[in-house]
Order: sequence, then C-alpha cells, then structure tokens
Amino acid sequence: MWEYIAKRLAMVSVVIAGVTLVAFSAMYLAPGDPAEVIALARYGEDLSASQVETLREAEGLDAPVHVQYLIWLGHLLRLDLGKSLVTSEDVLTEILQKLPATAELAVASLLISLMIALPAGVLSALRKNTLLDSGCMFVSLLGVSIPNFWLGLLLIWFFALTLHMFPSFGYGSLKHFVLPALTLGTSLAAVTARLTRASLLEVMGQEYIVAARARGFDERTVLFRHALKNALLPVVTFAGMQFGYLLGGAVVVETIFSWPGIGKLLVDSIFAMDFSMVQGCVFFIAVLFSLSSLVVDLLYAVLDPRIRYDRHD
Amino acid sequence: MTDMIEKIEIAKKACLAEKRLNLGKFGKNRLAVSGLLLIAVLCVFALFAPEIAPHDPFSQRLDSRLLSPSSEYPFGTDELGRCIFSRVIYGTRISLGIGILVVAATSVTGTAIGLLSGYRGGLLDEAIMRGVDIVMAFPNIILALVIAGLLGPGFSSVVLALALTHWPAYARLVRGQVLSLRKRAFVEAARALRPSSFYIMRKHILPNCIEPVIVLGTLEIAHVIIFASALSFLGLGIQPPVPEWGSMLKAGVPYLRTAPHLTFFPGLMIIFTVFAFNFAGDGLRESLGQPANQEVLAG
Repeated sequence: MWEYIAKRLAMVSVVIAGVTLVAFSAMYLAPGDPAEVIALARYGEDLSASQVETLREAEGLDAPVHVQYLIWLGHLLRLDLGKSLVTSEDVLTEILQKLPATAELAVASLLISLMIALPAGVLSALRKNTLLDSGCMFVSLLGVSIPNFWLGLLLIWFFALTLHMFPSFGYGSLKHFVLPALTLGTSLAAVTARLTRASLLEVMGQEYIVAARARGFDERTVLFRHALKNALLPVVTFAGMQFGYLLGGAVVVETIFSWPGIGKLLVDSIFAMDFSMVQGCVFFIAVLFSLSSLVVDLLYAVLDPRIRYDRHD
Repeated sequence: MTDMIEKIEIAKKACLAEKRLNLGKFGKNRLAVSGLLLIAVLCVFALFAPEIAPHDPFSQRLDSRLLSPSSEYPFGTDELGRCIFSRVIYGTRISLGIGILVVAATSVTGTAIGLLSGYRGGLLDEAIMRGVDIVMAFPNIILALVIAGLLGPGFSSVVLALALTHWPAYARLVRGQVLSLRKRAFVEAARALRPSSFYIMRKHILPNCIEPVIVLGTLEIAHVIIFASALSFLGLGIQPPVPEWGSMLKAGVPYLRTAPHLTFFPGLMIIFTVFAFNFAGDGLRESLGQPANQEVLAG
C-alpha cells in the first residue's frame, strides 16, 4: 500500500513536470513573435518598434527559450505564476478569485447528475431488458450526444427568455445556479446512469447476493443493504474522476452563462493573447485535475480492501 | 483422444474469437443499425451537398433576414438572409471532414505508438506512457482549446489541436492489448522462428487489436465532432462565413429571443450526427466478442 502511494506520487510529480513544459510552451504556439503579439494586445495597432523592444526586455523575452522556461519554473516553485500581460493583475490571485465560482458550479452539477443518474441507473438495472430499461439507456445515449452549449442555449431560451423563471446569465443568487448546473449536470448524468446500471448488474450477479436471497431477505433489503454498497463504489470514484470533465465542460458553460469562473477566465485570456494568464490557468487546471485523480485513486484503495496494487499499472 | 482434439478446437476458436467483432450480433442490434443508416445519410449529405441544398450557403439576401422556416427556406434564414438548411447541409462536409481526418490521424499514430510501447517495453514504454499521462492530465477540451486558440482559428488549427490531444486513448488501449497478447501461446510460437519484431507486430499482434481500435475510433468521431463544434462555438475554431454548425450556433445567440431557429437547427444537426456515431459505436462495442476463455485447455 505505501509502496503504491509512493509510486503514484512519483508518477504525479513526473506528470506535473511535463505539464509545466506544456503550459510554458503555450506562449510559443501563437504565430509570430510573442513580444509583438503582447505589444499589439496591450497598446493596440499603432505601435513602434521601440515599444516592442522595451516590452521584450521588461518581460524577459530577450533570453533564450530554455532560460525563459527555467526562470518561469523558478517563479513557479515560489508559487508565483507571474502577472497578467494585459491587466497586470497577479495571475495566481486572479485564478484563486475565480476558483470558488467554478467549484460551486462543479459541486452543484455533480449533485444534480447524481440525483438523476442514481435512480435511473438502479431502476434500469432492476428492470433489466424492459421498456423502462431501454428507455433510460436511450435517453442517456441521447444525453451524451447533446452538446452542452446547445442544451445551455435551449434552457436559456425556454426557462429564461420564454418563461422568465430563471436569469439567463450572471452569478450571485441561488437562481443563477439552476440553468448552468442543469446544463452541466444532465450531460454528466447520462454517463453516470450507464455506469450505475452496469455496476449494479455486475454486483447483482454475484454469489453473495444469491446467498443473501437464500437467507430469506426480501429484495429491498438485498438491494439496499447488500448490493448498492458495493455497486456504488465505482460510481462514487467515477464522480470524483469527473472533476476533470466538469472543469472542461465549465469552459463552455461558463462562457454561455457569463459565469465568473476559471473556464471563462481561460477563454477570455486566449482571446486577449494574455500568455501568462493562459499559462497559469492551464497549469492550475492540470494540477488540480491530476491531484484530484490521485486522491480518487488513493481513496479507492482505502475504500475497497480487495484492491491490491502489487501489479504495475 | 477425440476429447482432446475437441478441446483444442474449442481453444482455437476461442483464440480467433477473441475481441472479434460479431457482425451477426451487430445486425440484430436495431439501434446500432439505425446509427449506421444515419451515418450513411450524413455521408450522402456531405457528398451531394450542392445537389441537396436548395440555395447557395453563402449568398446573402438582406431583404429576407431572420425568416422563420417556410417551404422556400425549410429551416428559415439567418441574420444575413442565408438559407440555414443549405448551410446545415454544407456543414456536414466540415464536421464529418474534421471527425474523419482527426480520427484517421490519431488512430494510426496512437496505434503505432501503443504497439511500440507495449512490445518494446522497458524505458521506452515508461517514457511513452508518461507522455500519455501528461497529455491526459489536461481535462478533455482544455488543451485543444488552448492550442487551437493560440494557433489562430481555422480548419487546420482545429484538426491539429484535436489530433494532438486525442491520440493517447488509442496508445493506451493498444498497449494494454499488446501486453496481454505478447505472452500468449501463438505469439510465443511465432517467435520461435526468430522473425523481426516488426513482422510479429504486423502479422500477429496488430490484427488482434485492430477491432477495439475500430470501436474506439467510431465513438471518437462523435467526441471529435462535438469538440470541434464547441471550439467553433467559443469562437476559437472554424470562423464565419464557413457554414460550421458550432459557429452558426454562436452567430445565432444574439437572436435567441426573436429567432431561436438560428440556434435550434444547427444544434439539432450536431446531435443527429453525434447520435449516429455513438449508436453505431455502442453497437460495435457490444458486438465485440468476450475475451477468450483461458480455462478451456486446463479444464
């Protein structure tokens, strides 16, 4: 167990080291000279060559690329992600400021998805191969196929513009949560429902369930006391892994609903060619995602004593 | 004796049947077959767009802006008076094109990388797998968004961004297959003649992992199409006036209250397409044979 944890930690550090490289090179993806691109974004179209040169020196862009990377890495180790190239705000402060909105949306969506997916998945597993089952699975496949930007717009059109029940954008009250969380939650629910169904079906076929029935427990007890406990384990860990999905989906949903989170920050900074903000966001999101899957993996090992990690992978 | 021969026969069949697509089973899966039919319809749309579309998808008629669906314009017209139906039909070319291009590129390179990684093992394997981990450390769309956004919007940026971020799934899948296959009797036997490792990979290992790759590829086309249209919707992908579904949706947002058909129909087309590939892929996955029963000979 400890060996597994040590190995997993070592892997995560390698991955995060790689992530720094990817995040840093984001700046060099943009065609043209970064100093010029930044100057364009900051001073507008009419800029002089001397302005570009001053900026190049001020931002340390005159050093060779690998030196720039090492300098960036050095700052990073001191938790300094630099300053926004456009607004001069501190990148980390800005990200931490946006984090709560994204986290709240993620939690709300996760709750909504579980509220839909658990009953649907359990019901279709219990009524396997009936009309109800195939209906649920059809809807879930449909749910996977609906792009969340379209669903979001549809919800806005119906609930905000037609019925005037909820605000169509913004952040603040509980009412603002409903539409974005529904958008993000339903698409997640589609996948979770399928997983719940598969997991419960597998558990229900095991011998200890037969044994429990043989001992005379009624179906309800068998389901709630014996089957669900084991069947929900992969579902719960899956929900943890979906954190990454939520972060990704947040980019689109936050943009539609003008939700002041990290996803919108990232999109806005890409448009503004604010390289240091893009680097910061990308790095922060990847680290958050890596750490969350690490926690999920370790939790899984603790929760399920059957799992042994003596094999590689 | 006959018992023994029978057992060997069963074992042989089991080996052949391992992860084989069962097309008979696929044919019985009505949803999967309808998925395949929908894909055929989409291909017809893409190939014969000029014949099917009633209007020029680019011609603007400012006197007929934001018209509701009618017999002249089945899906109505957009903010510049262009026929939405024609644009949606032409959009099939873009989305299918991106989906097929990206999946072709990523499935081939991902498979090659996975083969190499699984068969060579050792340090190379370790390095490749950490590379896979690094790409997968970014939540699905984030990296593609940054790459496409910073490269500058356009068809080739979208394809490049999605290709760079979608190969690891294949590499991981194929590597896992190779690891389980290389220890199998038929590979050991083939190795007795000391052929090159390239020969073993091509002749014995690749054919046995190609079908899971086909299944993954079919499902991935659906993902790629959604991602591509999401990039365009955010304004970081295909740009107007190219009739791409995501960018049509984006253009329709300001008119959501007065003319919701601007966003409704392109979105419906995305769903239709993604639905088709998801159904076909799901059916293919279900018709994949179960892994061979290893106990056949022992029993």
